[in-house]
Amino acid sequence: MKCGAVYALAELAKKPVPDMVNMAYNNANLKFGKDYIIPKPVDPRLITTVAPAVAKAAMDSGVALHPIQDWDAYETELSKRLGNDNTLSKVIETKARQDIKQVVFADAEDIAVLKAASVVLEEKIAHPILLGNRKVVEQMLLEQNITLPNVRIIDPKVAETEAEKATMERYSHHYYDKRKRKGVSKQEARNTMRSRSYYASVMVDLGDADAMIGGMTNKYPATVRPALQVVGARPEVRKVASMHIVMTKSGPLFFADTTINHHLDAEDIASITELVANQVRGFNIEPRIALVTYSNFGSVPTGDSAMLMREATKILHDRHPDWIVDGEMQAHLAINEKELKQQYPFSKLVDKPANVLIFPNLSSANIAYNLMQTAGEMDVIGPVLLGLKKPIHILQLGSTVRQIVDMVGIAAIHAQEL
Amino acid sequence: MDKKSLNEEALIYHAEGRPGKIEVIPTKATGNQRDLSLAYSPGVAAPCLEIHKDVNNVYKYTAKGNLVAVISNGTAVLGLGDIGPEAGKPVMEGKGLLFKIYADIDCFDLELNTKDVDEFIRTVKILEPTFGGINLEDISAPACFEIEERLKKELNIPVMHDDQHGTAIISAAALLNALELVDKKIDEVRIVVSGAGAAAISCSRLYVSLGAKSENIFMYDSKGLIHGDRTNLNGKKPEFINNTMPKETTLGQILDGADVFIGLSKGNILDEEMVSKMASEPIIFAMANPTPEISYEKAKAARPDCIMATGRSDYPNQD
Repeated sequence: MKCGAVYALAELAKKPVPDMVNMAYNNANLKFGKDYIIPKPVDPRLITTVAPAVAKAAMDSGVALHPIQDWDAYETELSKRLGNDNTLSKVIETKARQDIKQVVFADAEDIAVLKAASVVLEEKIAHPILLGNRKVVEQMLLEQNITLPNVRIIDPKVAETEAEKATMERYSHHYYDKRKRKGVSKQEARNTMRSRSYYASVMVDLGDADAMIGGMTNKYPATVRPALQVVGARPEVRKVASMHIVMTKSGPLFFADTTINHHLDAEDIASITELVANQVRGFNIEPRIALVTYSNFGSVPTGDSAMLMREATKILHDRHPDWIVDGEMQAHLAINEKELKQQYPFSKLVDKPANVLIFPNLSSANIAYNLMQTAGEMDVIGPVLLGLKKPIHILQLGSTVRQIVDMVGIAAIHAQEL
Repeated sequence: MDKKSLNEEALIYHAEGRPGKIEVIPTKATGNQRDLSLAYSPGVAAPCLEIHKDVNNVYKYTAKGNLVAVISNGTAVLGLGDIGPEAGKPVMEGKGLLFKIYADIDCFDLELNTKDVDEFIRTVKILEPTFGGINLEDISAPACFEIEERLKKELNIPVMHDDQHGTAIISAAALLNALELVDKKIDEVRIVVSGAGAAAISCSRLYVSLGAKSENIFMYDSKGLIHGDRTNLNGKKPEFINNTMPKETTLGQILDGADVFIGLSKGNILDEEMVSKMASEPIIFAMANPTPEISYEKAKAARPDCIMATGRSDYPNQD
């Protein structure tokens, strides 16, 4: 049985490496050779390759009490077991580690943020820069017994040295330049730069930091404003949106738009869907998209949300005939391909369940992910801001250290791609 | 995080909420009285009788088939040594957690208060009805060899001593592929094994069962080559006595012309000069943790043609 495992592992290393594994190692083009003689630990094929090989060896040697008859069913059962593992988090962290980026934390006067900064520094996920009152931050670090070697603490409210004053002037001028035709005076620009969210946004815009993690807030849309004003959306983006990743037992589910846009028309929904699809592909996962509401393929002909999602589906089908995207449908059908196949065999999603759920409005998306997180006791990553020129993410009140670390990882990966 | 705050964090991690790292969760509905009458009395009698009729039905009606016992007496916990069964419990719970997240296999961790080999074996034997498999963990050598061997013989469920076989399996897979890449045959290569503990013995045994020749394997403990003229060989070391070279042959001398180095000992015992004398395209598995027998950089600098593997995730080929 040991030899069975040995041969299975040795053979697996000779097979083409899945994209997901390559991605976890900085898009390395891993192939059998002197630097790749055994499979990587994150390889999802391990469980479905090694376990059956050991089982076969056990059967051949006669020690197996319950010989396996249906090998396909056994493999399916094995791969389902993997859902327990938060592979996506590992992929994010491993990839972030390959090229360490500078991430500015816009509000470091928070214990969870400082703990997260300590984790990302220690785990080499990113190199933090902290914004906040130096005395306050240092006191908190002391109380929490956290040491952050070589991490700068910047207080935008107090520019003391000549260098700090020059930076402040440079940032103010940059902001003034961007906003002078929007009624901002030079003095107003200087005052605005004392705000940490603006200061951090300018840092990222000017390349003094690679990404920004905004302070915890319960007024999310207002906190996004500095990022929008300073860094701005990519030119082709219709509306900046945000996504949450819900870690379910059978893999990650991507929800949008969970925190930004109050009112959406069909074009908005279609363009947000495109943003999410691109981001999901960025994680090397093939998006399988469902536009969800309370109606299934016209079963409720005239409801507002039903019509909206039907229209958006049509736009997406016209624009991307090869994408796996369908709607409108109820959420349970989107993630239960058997039931979907029984009732709507024509749907593009009948082979495998959806992994991207696009909601008709902010309420439904926001309620859905919060329920999954709390009532469903699932890990959630987000909000991941989509559509900005540079990686900026704002934390929501109550974010845990793990969630912040994941967000830093996502921001760092974005920065690597720029 | 420095070591101190890592330790503090680890203590909080283990203590917060419900202490420890694992819990038992029912797998069937328990929502109403009817569910409970199926789960327990009177309904539960039906599967009891089915199993009574045919004991193999225990796999059909109970969790046995997916339940592994992680068993230790705490005599060789990590690098901490003999710290006792209770102190070993966090490691055993941790192993249970790994089983769960990587393979969805359920575990009970059992810490036994005995260093007596017979008592240990007897205890595990009478636990057999409960479990689908036995994972022995962190038991000191040489007791671990006898315990595993006898349990394998006497039990009808799989038994595995993780410390021995985990490293053996992955390093053997790496060895097969490395040999293929440099076009050498396993029954012809000279293999030098640094270390003679449970992992070294188990690795060497597996290499032999894959075709390596015992007379080509040279094993070293802290006192030198495992040789027939030595009088201080304990445990399973005599299994790898090799008299084809003089007793005094040093590690440096034996590496001259050797094809494979297997490091299961301690950090930095190999230098560039020793590596530079190895045969063409040498295979160097420096698996001591966290500091390998020779660093990746040094080995590659001395021998750009080598195939190098370590126990570290920050270099290629992690074992």
